[in-house]
Amino acid sequence: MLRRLAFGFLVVIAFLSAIGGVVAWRTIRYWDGVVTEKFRTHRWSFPSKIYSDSLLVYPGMDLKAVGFFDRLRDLSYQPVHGELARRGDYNADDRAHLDLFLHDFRYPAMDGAGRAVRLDLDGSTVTRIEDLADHKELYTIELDPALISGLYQGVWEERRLVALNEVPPLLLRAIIDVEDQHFYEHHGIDVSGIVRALWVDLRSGHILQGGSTLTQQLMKNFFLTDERNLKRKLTEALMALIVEHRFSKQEILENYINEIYLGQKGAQGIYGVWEASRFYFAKEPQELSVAEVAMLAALIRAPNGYSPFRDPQRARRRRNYALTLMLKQEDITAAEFAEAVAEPLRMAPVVNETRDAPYFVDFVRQELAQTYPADVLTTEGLNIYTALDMHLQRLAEQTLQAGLADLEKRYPRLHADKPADQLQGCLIAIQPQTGAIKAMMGGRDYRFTQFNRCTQALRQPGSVFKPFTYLAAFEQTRHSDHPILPTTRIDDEPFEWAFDTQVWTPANYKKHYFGEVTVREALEFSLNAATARLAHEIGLPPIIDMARHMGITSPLPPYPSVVLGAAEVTPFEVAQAFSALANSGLRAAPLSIKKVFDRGGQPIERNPVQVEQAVPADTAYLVTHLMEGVIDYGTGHPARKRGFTRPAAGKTGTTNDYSDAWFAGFTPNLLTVVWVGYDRRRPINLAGAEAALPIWTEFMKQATAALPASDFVPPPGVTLVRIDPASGQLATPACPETLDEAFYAGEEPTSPCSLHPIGAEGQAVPGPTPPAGEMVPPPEE
Amino acid sequence: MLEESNIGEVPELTPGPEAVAAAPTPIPAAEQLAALPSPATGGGSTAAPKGASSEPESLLKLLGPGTPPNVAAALRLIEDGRQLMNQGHLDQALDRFERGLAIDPTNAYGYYFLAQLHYLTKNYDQAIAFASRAAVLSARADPPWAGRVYSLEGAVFEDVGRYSDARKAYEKAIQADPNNLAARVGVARLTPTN
Repeated sequence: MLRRLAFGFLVVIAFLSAIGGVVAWRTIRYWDGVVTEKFRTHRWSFPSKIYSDSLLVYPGMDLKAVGFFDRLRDLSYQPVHGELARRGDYNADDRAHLDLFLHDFRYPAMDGAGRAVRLDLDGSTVTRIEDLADHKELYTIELDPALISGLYQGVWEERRLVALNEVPPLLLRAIIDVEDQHFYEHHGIDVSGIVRALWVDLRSGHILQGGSTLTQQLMKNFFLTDERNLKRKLTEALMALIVEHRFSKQEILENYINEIYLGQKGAQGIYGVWEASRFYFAKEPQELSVAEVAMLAALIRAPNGYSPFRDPQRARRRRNYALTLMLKQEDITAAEFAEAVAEPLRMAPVVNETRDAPYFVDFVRQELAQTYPADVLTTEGLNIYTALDMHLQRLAEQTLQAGLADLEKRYPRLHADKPADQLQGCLIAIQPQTGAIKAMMGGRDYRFTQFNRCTQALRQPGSVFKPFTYLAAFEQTRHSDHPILPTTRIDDEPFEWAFDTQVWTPANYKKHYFGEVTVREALEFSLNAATARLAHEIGLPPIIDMARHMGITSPLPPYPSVVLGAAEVTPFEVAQAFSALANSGLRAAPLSIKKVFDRGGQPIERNPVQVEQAVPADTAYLVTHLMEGVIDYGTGHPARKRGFTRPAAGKTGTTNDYSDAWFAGFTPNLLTVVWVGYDRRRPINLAGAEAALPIWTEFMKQATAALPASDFVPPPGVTLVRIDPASGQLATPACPETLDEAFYAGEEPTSPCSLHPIGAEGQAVPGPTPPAGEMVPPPEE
Repeated sequence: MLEESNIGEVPELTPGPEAVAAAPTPIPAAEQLAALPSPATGGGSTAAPKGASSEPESLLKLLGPGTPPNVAAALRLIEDGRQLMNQGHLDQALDRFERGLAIDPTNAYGYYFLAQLHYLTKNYDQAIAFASRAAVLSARADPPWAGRVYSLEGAVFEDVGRYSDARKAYEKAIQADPNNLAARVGVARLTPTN
C-alpha cells in the first residue's frame, strides 16, 4: 500500500514536473522570441530639432549690434584665457582681437571640421578674419544655428549614437568597474555581484552599489518600467539571460553606452555617453581626462543625485570612489589615480539650450504638420533650420513686453490683473526680399496664453488698409486721361457713400476736415473722408483685388467701409502684403522653414526664396514714397521724434472703437508689424501712433542697427521731380517749401510753380494766393 | 559653421568659362551653364550669337574702400555662388546667392544671378520675377548691367513664348546699354521680316 502510494506520488510529481517543464519551456521560448526580436529591432526615438538661422560674420560687422556675444553664450562657447584647445573655446582677453574655435556644423555639401579663427577688432567691429591654421584671410565665417526647441513625445531624449570604437576604452572599463565588474564573466545575472553589493551597501549605510548587471539595466531601460517588485526583477533577469545567450558582450555594451540616462538639461534628458560628455565637459569622449571619465561612469547610478552642477562635493566624492574602483581593477596606475583625484571638477557652463520663441515654434510645428506625420517628427531626429534671427527675436520679446508695460504705466486704466484680461500685443518682423520670418512674438507671455496674435488674431486693420486703396487708385487710372497722382487734389469733407439700401458716412479722426488736400496729404495724415472719396471714384472691386494680390487672404466683404479697414485680417497677412511694397511690388512667400535634414545630414526639404509680382514696381514705389511721408511728416512722425532716423515707410492704424492700434512699417531691408489691443476687444482709447508705434520704433532702432542705412530705390518708369507741394508744379527758387515727388514717367509736371514764379531777372514775382485751408497736421490720425 | 573649406575664403579670381550659345536640351547642369544667356551681352541660349560672349568680369572688381561691409560680403558670396554655378553646383550656388541677399537685400547682382539660376532650372516664373527686381535695382546704378538683366528677361520671355514681352525686354536692354549685342540680335530675330 505504502509502495503504491509512493509510486502514485512519484507519478504525480513526474506529471507535474513534465507540465511545469513544458510551461517553463514554452515561457522561455516565448520570451526568447520577444526579447530577441525587440533587442534586434530596437530603435531609439530621436526628437526633431528646430534651429534658428545661422549668423554670418564678415569684416565691417559690429558684433554688438548683432548680439554676437549672446549668441556665443547660447551656443555654449566657453571663454578661455590661453590658447584655443578645442571646438567651442574662445579667447577675448585681447581687445584687439577675438580668437574663436568654431563648432562643427554639419550641412550637406559643406562638410568639415570647425576651424579656429581670429577676428581682428576695432572696438566691437570686425576688421579682418583669419584662419588660425593656415593664416588665410576669410571674408565670412558662420556661427552655428541656435537650437530653439525639440519635437518629441513624452520625454525629450537627447542622444547621439556612437560605436564602441568611438569611445575610449578607459571609459568602457570605468563603466564596467563601477557598474558591473564581472560583465565579461557572467551570463546576464551576477549572484556574487548581488551579494557583494548588498554587503557594501550594508557596511556604508547607503546604496553605493546595485546588484543589477549592465545587461539587466539595459533590459529594464529597453523593455520595462521603473517599478520595483519581484515580478519585474525576475522578468528582467530572464531577459538578461536570453539576451546574453543571443547576443555578444560587445553588442550589449554598445547598446548600453548609447542607452543610459546621464542627466537633465532643462527639458532635454541626456542619454548615452557622447551626449553626456558634451553636456558635462563640452568635449568629445576621446578628449576626456581620467577624472572626467570616472565622473561619467560615477554618474550612472544616480545622474541627478550625483550631478556636479547640483552638488559638486558629493559629485567629487562619487567620482573619487569610481577612481578607487578603477585603480583596484588596475585600469589606471597609482600615479594616474593621484593626479585624477587631485583634479578639480571643471564643468562646462550650464546652458539651457532651448530658446524662447514659443509662438514661432508653434507656427513652425503647424507648417511641418502639413508635410510630416507626427511620429516622424517626434522620432526620426529631423533637423529643421528656420529663418528666425535669434537676436531680433530677443529684441522682439523685450520691446513688446517693455512697450506694453510702459503703456500700462503711462495709462494705468489699461492695466488688468487677470492674465486673460491683460493688454496684449504682437510683433512680426519679415525680410521683405526673401520673406524670411526674422522674429515673431505672438503675445505678451506664452505661459499665460498660447494664442498667436500674429497668425490667429483676426482684427480690423483700420487705416493700415489704406495703402491698398491708394495702390488701386494709381494702378487703376494710370493709363487713363486723368491718372490719379500723388499731387492730385481731392476733397476732404464729410461725404456719404450710398450702397445697396444703406448710406455710409466716413468720418475723420476727431471730425477734423481739411478741405481740398493732395493724395499725398490724405495718406500722410490718414484722412478718412478723402480716402473714401478716392475709393468711391475707382470703385470697390479694384481695391479688394489689389488687397488680394498683395497677400490679404481673409474675407473682404464688398462694403465701402472695407477701404478704411473694417474687414478683419491678421497681422501676418498685413506683414505679407506690406512686404510687397517694400520689395518693389514683388511679394516673397513667407519663409519660416528654410531646410530640413534627416538625422544623417541628408537634405529632405529645401525652401528657396519664392517671389511673385503682386503689383508693378513703379506703382509700389509711388505708394511707398507716400508712406515715407507718413513717417517723415504725418501720423507716423513720432517715430522720428523717438530717434528713428533711417529711410522708412509706414502706416498707422486705429479702429473706430479704439480697440485696435497698429503700426506697419519698413525700411528697405526689414518690415515690422505691431498690433496692440485686448483679446476681448475692449477699447484701449489710443491711436496706433500712441500704442503700437513706440514699440515698432524701439524694435526697429535696434533691429536695423547692424546694417548701414539705405534708401528706397526708384524703379525704371518713375521720375522724381522737385515740386512745390502747394501748387504741385515744378519748384522754383522762390518756392518756400519743396518736395521731391514721385511720378510715373511722362506724368510729371512740366510747368514751373505758378504760385511762386520767377521773373526775367531770376527774382520771385508775386503770384496768386496759395489755396486756403493750409493743413495743420492733426496730432493723431 | 559652414564646413566647406572654400566658403568664406577670399577666392582666387579665375575667369569663368566662355559661354556658348544654342545649347541642346536636356543637358546636365554644368553644360547647361555654358549655354546660359551671356551676362556680358545678355540674351539667352537662343539669343546669344555663337561664341560671341564671355562671362562678366568678377564682381570683386566692384569692391572699393567705400563699399559698405555688408555689400562687400554679399558681393563676395555672390561671386562665389556665380563660380559654383559655373561649375554646375546649382544647389550650393543658390545657397550663396540667398545668403548674399540676406545681408544685402538690395544687391542687383544677386538677383540677376538668382534669375539666371532659375532660368537654368527652367523655373521661368521665378527667373522673370528676380530679373525684374534686378532691373529695378540696377537701372540707375549700373545701366550696362541693367542691359544684361533685361536681356536675360528677354531670353526667358522668348523661351516661354511671350515674344512681345521678349522684344520689349530686349529693347529696354538696348536702351540701357546700346552695346548689348545679344539684345540687338534678339530684337532682330523677333522683328518680322517681309
